[in-house]
Amino acid sequence: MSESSGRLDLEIFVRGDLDNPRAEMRVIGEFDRLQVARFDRAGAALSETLQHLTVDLRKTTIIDSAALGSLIRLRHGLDRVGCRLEVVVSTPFQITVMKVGGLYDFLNVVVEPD
Amino acid sequence: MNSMTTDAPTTGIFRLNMPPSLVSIAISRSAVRRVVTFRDADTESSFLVALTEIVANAIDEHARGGHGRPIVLEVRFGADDLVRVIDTGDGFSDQIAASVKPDHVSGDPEERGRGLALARALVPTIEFETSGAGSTVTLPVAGFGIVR
Repeated sequence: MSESSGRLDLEIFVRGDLDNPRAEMRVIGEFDRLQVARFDRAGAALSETLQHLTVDLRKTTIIDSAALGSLIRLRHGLDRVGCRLEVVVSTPFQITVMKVGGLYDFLNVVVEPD
Repeated sequence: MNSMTTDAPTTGIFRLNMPPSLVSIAISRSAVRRVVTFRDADTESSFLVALTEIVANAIDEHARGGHGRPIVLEVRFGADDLVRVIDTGDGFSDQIAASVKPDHVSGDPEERGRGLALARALVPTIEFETSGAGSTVTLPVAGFGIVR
């Protein structure tokens, strides 16, 4: 049994060059309705010149429907600036959440081992 | 001389009254983590997300109904280990509980029903009951772990 801290840690890495700006947002912990405002703010603060954003959810222990809503808002926001979104998951639970949410293709979900 | 037994009870019920506010999501998850030993981290995540969605739904319904009655978290152990969320608010309708389906596709971030679909997919044995007095959602622990 794990004892959760109930925290959402956001780590944001930006990499690439001027011709191909890319960013990676790593989400660690419980990504739920108690924390989505932080994620929304982090997403909104990303540069509008980005061409590719990867959201790495492999270290999340909770992903609820509010978190899915936040990812959808992010995708809509990135569409407006021509940025491609990719979401990375690894565990069966994370894969199930994405499939049930009907977002596997919409969020360009990729399964990669942690 | 009186003989006394110190054996732990083999059946029991634990009830917790929670406020109809978002803090109850954290309270319910913490309480369940303390009394349930999960099989592994993945089953724990699945069960707790389903619980989160059910408690969140109860909170939303209380907010819509405009009353402050508590939401009850009940844990039973013994013959059947289970977790119940008892909501004396308006609850969800039978139609909503029955209509939510896995693999439903929508790009609407606020779509109502996605949470219940998630709960049903992550805990397929979940049971929804609605009456005039409110609603009860039962999450059987079997297959996920044991109440200790």
